[in-house]
Amino acid sequence: MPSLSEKLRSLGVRVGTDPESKSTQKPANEPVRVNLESVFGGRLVSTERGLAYFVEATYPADYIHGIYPISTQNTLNVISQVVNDPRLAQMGYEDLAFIDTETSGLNGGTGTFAFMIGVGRFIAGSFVLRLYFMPDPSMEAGMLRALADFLAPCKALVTFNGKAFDAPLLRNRYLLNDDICPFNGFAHLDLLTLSRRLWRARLPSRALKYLENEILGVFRASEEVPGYEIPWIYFDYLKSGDPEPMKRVFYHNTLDVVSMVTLLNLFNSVLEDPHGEQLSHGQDIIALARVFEDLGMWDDAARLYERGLREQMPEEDFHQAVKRLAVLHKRRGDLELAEALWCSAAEEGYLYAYIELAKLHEHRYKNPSVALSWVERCGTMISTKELPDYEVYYWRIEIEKRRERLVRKTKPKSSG
Amino acid sequence: MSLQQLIDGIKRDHDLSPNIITWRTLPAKQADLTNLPIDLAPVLEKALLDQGIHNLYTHQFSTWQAVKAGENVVLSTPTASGKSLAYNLPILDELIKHPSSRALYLYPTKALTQDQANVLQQTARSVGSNLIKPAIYDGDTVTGDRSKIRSSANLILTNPDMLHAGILPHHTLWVDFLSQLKFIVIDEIHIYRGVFGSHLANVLRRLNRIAARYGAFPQFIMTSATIANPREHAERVIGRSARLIDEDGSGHGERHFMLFQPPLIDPGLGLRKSATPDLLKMAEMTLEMGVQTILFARARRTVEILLKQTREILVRKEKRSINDRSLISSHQVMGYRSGYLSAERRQIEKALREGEIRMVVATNALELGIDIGQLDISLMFGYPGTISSLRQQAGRAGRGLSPSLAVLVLTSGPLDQYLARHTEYIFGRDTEAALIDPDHPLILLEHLRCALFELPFSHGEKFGELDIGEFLEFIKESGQAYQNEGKFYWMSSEYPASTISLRNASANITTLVEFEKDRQRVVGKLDRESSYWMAHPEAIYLHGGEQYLVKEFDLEKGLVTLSRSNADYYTDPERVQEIDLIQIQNAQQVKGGSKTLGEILVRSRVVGFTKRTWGSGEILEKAALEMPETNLNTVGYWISLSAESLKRIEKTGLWTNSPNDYGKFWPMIRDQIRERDHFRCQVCGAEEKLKNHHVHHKTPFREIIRRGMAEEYNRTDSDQNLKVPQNLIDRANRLDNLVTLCESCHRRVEQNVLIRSGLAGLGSVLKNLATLSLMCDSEDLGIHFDPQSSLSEGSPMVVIYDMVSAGIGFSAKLFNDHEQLLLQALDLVENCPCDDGCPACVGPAGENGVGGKSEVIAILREMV
Repeated sequence: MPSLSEKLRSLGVRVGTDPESKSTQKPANEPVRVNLESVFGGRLVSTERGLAYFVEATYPADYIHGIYPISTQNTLNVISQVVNDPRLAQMGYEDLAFIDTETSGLNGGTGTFAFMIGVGRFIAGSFVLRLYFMPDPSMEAGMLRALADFLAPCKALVTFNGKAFDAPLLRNRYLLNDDICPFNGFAHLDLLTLSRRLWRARLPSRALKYLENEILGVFRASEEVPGYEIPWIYFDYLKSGDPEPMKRVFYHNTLDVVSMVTLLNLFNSVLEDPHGEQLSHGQDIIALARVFEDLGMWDDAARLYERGLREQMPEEDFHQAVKRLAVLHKRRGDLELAEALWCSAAEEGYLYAYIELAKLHEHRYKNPSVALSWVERCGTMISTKELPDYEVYYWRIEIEKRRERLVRKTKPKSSG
Repeated sequence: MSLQQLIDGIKRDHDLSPNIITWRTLPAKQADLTNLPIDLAPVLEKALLDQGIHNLYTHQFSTWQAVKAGENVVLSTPTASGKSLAYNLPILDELIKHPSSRALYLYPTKALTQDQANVLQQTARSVGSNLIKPAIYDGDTVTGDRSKIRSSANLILTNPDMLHAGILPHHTLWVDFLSQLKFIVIDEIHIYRGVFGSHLANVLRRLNRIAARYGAFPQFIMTSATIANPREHAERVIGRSARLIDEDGSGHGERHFMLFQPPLIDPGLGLRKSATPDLLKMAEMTLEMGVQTILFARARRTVEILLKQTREILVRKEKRSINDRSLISSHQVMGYRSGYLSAERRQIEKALREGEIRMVVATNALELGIDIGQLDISLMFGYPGTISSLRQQAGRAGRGLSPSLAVLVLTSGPLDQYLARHTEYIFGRDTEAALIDPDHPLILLEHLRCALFELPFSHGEKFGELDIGEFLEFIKESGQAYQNEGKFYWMSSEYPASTISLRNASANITTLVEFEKDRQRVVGKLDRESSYWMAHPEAIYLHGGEQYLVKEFDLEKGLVTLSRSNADYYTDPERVQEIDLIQIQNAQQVKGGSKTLGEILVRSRVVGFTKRTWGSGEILEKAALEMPETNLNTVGYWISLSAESLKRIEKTGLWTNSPNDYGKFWPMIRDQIRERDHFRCQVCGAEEKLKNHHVHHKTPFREIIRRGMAEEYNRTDSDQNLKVPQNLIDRANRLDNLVTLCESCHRRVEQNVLIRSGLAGLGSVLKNLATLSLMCDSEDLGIHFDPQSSLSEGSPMVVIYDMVSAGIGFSAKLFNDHEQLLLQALDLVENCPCDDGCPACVGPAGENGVGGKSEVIAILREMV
């Protein structure tokens, strides 16, 4: 009788039945991970759910990561409004837990687990980072409990894409280990969401590593490992027992967590002091202006728009910003400023500006004949431009419906 | 217009009435009723009373009692006997009395799910107070609604595929639901046989494992069509014991069941008149009488052809009498089959319920309990392949206590003809059994991967009742599991459920599209293997009554581009296959030879196709194709003849029997060929000496005559005295069909032809009979024969194999039933009234075969 393995192979089962993959297999039940400590330092602790292993590093308050210091004097006031979670306004940095996980896959589902959880928090001004690492899947319960103990004083999570990925995954793991998830009821600041708001226009990617290079001035060493290799490094480690290649994953996870801290600091400082010098790129300042506009802080928003518009940026972005600023002025009641912006936009041939001016004169200034003249000039403008048909069609309708009404309004009442 | 008038009409019709060979009338039956259960929740009782339900059928009451007693139940009663109410009642009662309880309903199709959800929602409204909260959770459920459904619904309807790929791998999201899971309903459990059923059994092992993890041990309630082994099958699917409830308490009106046998036009050749004209005539009568009809056809293509023809009849009528408002328009006849998009199907179902559509031409896709209301008449074109299908199709007819009619129009296929002589299969007790193999190694392996992903396995943990240590070791060896302290963990970044399809051996799909003004429109989808022969380049493909030509087949993308076509031909693919032996599992000597069960590799390829005219089937053109080879590693059962048997068959000299009359010019032609071939044997090269060499027909003379006659008489529908026309004789005696052979070579060549045809005939008889006991479709089994097979060390053999990778147990059962199978075969062939084989017994032989009936009988006599 052929063995099951031979039989399955003869039926076309392909996955790894070749003898090569077998050779890297370590014999079953080899004693667990002897030399972790000698490679990484760190220590084993016992919890009520078994042993846990972690490596700890402390970053003093004056530690500089990239171009930014790790500590900050800022509060969480403005950011709590931006993410619309008032609980954060009551908290300080010592209440935050910065978390990032390294996992066995990206697909989710109960078969995906975290084998490393990097978590850091501020203790007496210093940033204390712990990398909890699971030397063996049988030690998951211990790792989770140790993490829970470390998180006990905290009230909020800070993650990068953790709302979609890390938090639900960890919640699953606690559930599967019949343990209580320590961050139920925590506030959650997901820095990816904020990064998108600030850099969607300027940066082609908002991946953390990209932000490090472009914004934080952090450049990873050659130890860095691409994310997709990480599960395999861990699986190989389990098979071979050799912790050496895991070094790169420890490095990766460390940077992921520490970079989150300076990234949050940067957000906080631009939000607390929007007119400072942290941001220099025009598009970034315009993006910040929009954040303040959305918060209803129109004066700050207008100042930021004006400042941003002084910087270099692609023409289309520039005019989008002008357009928004003019609307903002109008909303704030500053009609003259709005009018001035539209006039200069009209001079540059932007059709929307003619229509806005017509609306301004018709509805605010109650001056239909000036409004009509802007509409007429818009009509002339169209014929001088080479526009696609559908666009011409759109503007013609905009013009005609106004012209008709304005002509009626400008006629002397007695003749009616 | 009443059904009685239609029946009278058929009775009076001179074309139809003589051909009704069986007419059973099942008298109306009063229902056996009981009172509603006294412990029924009052709100539910009121809801039932509001719906006009004052009593239960006895089987519904028995179900209530068994479920209340905590038993697993399988309910096997006929179509339209109120099975849904039977399982709903105890479950809804529980949900009302214990609001934390949860129930999971599994349906084989999304369509059926929709249908049952509508029914439940009505009941839920009628019960009120938000006590029953049913919701569908399947692939179509909007992502935004999912979490709400998980947390608030207490009755979730889904399908096994969603359970497998969408629910179980994310079971932590379902903790609240699963920990309170009290009931699992599996509707239409007979559908889950073969591969699909084996998959389901494993999905349920996973579900039970996870439910147990959360402290739940749900009760199973299943329904089944009437099959021979509902209880055994149900128990194998759920892996637990179950109680069978099969006494039917429902009532029905008078039921007529007719078998319509198209007349023989040549008893000798076993040729029957085509059934299509009579079928269309019946269809036309039913439309005229205003009774709503369902017409079942076996093949997707037949559906399209019948649809086209029925509509043409209606269009002709419309043209003749434009102002007649009572006329049914051609849009009131619709097709329905797999390959139609689901929105299209929902619309047709609705229009049927509302009576807007007067006739639907369907495949068995409409057989499942999809609610199209009850119709008046079920016309079935050909035996649908299983008795339970036949009963379900027939069961589509019959509203309440009014009379109904089901007509099975027999084809000349062997099973149809076998049933015509053995109506006890139709009207007697159930003989067909559903077969599954939950321990099929490939299927089991796939589900163990999923199960391991879902939860680690502890040392010695079983999967259902199965020890799986070896499998876990294998998964570990292949690098997808990690083991420590006896526990196995999933160790891969893969999400295994996403790569496994429950329905199919292959997860590959081919999409069919057409371009409408530069825009691509999806016409339908096919599994990859079928697409190679149904939609190869230049194939004529039919869909929705439209005829398409395949313009392009992009093998890499699995994309077929169609364009509408009004070609007057259809295409017939030509497939070749070869079989390699992998390993023998069991071999035994039997009378006349041996029987073997073993693993084989079947390699097949579409190598070309033939264009044939609609109607006469005349060959217009043959073309070659290059399509990819498909490999099937499976299990087969083969029988081979011993050398002694072969010698005895040869000695009977079958091939010298009944010499053919080759026509008056034969001596002249014969001499001309000998001269052409320089009086040398064209095989061994021997020169003609004392005795004249023979002249051999490459395509047998009898075969050419038989086929020619068939074409001739199919077209004229007359049974005049059969004289072979000279032009047919000339066709057989064409010079390029003739070759000079020496006597001994001739004998060998002829012998080969005869053995071939004997084997071909035997193969087709055995395969057809096998489907009767295995409850499988004809497509589930493959056959192959070879006069000199490597499978049998060069002796003649016939192999029947499972069309499923690794086999699903069909061949194994045939191997065990060998003797009975051969006995049935001999009975069938010997008692067939034809002279030398016909489609009803040994089947039409291949291009180069002959009838082969006597050869088949000779082989069978050796072996029985």
